[in-house]
Amino acid sequence: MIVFENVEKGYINPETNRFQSVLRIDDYSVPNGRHLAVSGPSGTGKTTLLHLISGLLKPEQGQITINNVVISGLSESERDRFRADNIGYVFQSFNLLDGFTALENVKVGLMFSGKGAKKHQAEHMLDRVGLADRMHYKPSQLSVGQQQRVCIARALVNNPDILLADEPTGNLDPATSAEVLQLLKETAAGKILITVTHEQDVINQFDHQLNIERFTQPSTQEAV
Amino acid sequence: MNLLNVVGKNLRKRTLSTVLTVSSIALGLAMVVAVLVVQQQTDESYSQTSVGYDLLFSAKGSQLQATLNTLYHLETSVGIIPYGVYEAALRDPRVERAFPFYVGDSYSGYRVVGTSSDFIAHAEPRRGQPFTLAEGRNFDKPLEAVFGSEVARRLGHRVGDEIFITHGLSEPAPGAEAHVHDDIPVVIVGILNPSGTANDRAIFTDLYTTHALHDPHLHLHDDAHDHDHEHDNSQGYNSSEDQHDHDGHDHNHNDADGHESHDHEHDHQGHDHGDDLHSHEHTAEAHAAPARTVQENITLSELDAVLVKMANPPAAIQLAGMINFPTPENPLLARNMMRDPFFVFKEDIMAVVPAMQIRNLMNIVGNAEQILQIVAWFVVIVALFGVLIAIYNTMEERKRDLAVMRALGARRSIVFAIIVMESAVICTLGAVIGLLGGHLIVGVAAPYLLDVAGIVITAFVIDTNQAFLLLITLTAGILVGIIPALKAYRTDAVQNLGSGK
Ligand SMILES: Nc1ncnc2c1ncn2[C@@H]1O[C@H](COP(=O)(O)OP(=O)(O)OP(=O)(O)O)[C@@H](O)[C@H]1O
Ligand SMILES: [Mg+2]
Repeated sequence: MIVFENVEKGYINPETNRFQSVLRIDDYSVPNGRHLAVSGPSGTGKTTLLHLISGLLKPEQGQITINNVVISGLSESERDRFRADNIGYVFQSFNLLDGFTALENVKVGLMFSGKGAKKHQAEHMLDRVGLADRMHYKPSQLSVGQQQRVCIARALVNNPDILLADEPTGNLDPATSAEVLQLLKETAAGKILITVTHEQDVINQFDHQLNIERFTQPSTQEAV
Repeated sequence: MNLLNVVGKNLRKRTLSTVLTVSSIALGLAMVVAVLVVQQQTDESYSQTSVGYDLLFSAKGSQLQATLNTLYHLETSVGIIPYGVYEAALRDPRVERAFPFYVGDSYSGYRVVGTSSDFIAHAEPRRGQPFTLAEGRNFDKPLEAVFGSEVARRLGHRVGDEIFITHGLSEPAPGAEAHVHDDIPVVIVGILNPSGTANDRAIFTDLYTTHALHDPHLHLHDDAHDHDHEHDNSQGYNSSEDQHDHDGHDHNHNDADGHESHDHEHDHQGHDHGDDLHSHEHTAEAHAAPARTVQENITLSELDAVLVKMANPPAAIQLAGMINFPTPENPLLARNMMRDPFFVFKEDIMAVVPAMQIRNLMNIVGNAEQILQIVAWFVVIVALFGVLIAIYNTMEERKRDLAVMRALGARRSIVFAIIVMESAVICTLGAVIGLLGGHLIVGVAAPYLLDVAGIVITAFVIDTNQAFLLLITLTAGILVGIIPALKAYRTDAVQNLGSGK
């Protein structure tokens, strides 16, 4: 369960050098097990929302509670630890470590968690995303779709409660896109899955949708 | 997967940069280690050898040359002194032990030292560490030799082998005829254990043997062996030829070097000459004969030096002063001085305190070594900057990787540690390779140093100083890593994820 209460997040506008509010979420929650599609025009704060949940960003005001932990009240290193244990992240640009094989990339996902996940889980996850025969391939030797599968395996290897995906199909052709989306939804069964997307096909696959403009501050939209 | 794995992967990803930075550290460290090892062992070698004797008497000339010649078997003899100096030393109550020293001959490029058997028995090439025999026994009559460990090892000689000694110090130039005293076979009776001093590359024999070699008119065999002695003096050896008085061969055995009882009934049948290394037609009886002849025909008349161990070491300075300083005008003082048994040799000899000579020499060598040491450290420092720059330059392209790690839950301190560890690993690898490389350099240079400086240097002796060097390099590696690591620490994960952009 993710709960937002009176949250406000913004940035220092580099042009005016003034604080500029981007998101304002007075009261919003995502119950456990919900799969949610977040959409909205570019620059309206979708990625910012994911970063707030993951704890990479901290709101200027309000509080964010995940599974009864007020993560907005934690220190940065505590949030890092919380993220390592509870949150899986999949990005649009695949962000695999090059020079590291698929398996090594997934194992890096195990390194920072205190959950004591075991090595064989990395192999198990790659197997689950259909890459049992590609474990020792480097990212450059994998197709774009395969790379995204590795990212999903890496995000899930710690068995997090929450899976965040930022335009996970943005770089994929429609067929692969459908496959990856299917995989995401399958592997995230029973978990909170929040997928940012601007593709209507993807949005339609989700029972729950959120248009971020609901929370976007007017000044941001003007700027866009 | 742990942090070290990640560091290893990152380093392997940039193989060229890693190899270059590791090699540059290794190069610097190798220099530091090589200089350090040579420095330590030179100091040790020079200081330890010299304490075996308090004083040495030699012909007037360079004190350093006399020291190097007698203690390190380097240079040439300063000149010859009367044999009586040795006899006087033996009689003098101030002298605890005296050893004669007569050189000028060599075998396969190694110097042959004529001395007394006392030298092997009682001289201490290192403080409190007398010679020990690895094989065989001490020489106890003419034409027997004891080999230093290095000579025996390099020439592959063993006890019982027979050799022919060359007059002169070096191997003759190719083409030139070697002046081999092939009429005087010398038998190896003992081989010394390594002492870690220049003595390891010397051959020790009886004074009669060396005197015999120096006597161009001596015919050891009764046959009319026409021995044409055209001594080649180009080697700079000048001790015996000119001043030699060959007329006064009295056959009295007035030798005082411990050969009073010449037991000519020695059983030479027991010598094993089955070794075919040196094929010769001498029978066992044949070379029993020269042993007798040598002592009958030779008067010990001259030496190159006398090494003296004083009963009371500080008295060495006083005795040296008496010998070296001009006789005072004051007749009272002069008379006092004249009572000294060495006074009669005052015009022929000088007294050298080898420890002082070595100290002076070490000061000079020490300065040179210090400069080398500074240069070596400078190379290390430049190499460390190289590591810093190499890692720093990768930070821009690695921002995304670091951001990904942060997104996976890595704390800032972990990405900081990864970068510091990269630098530390490069420096440690370089240091270990450098340490081994330094020893390799020393190992390769050791035989050369032995030949030119008379120093026995042992490579691959790792001591705490060198362990300390590793620690210093590791610390420097960590310090150097901190600068790029701070950049990593400050890298903003959100901005570098590039998600959706
Ligand atoms: N570090 C920053 N400093 C200042 N402004 C920022 C910063 N990061 C984001 N913003 C601003 O916040 C707003 C929301 O950005 P965000 O990345 O969340 O948008 P988005 O909805 O994910 O857009 P897109 O669909 O293009 O990915 C944008 O207007 C952006 O300019
Ligand atoms: Mg975005």
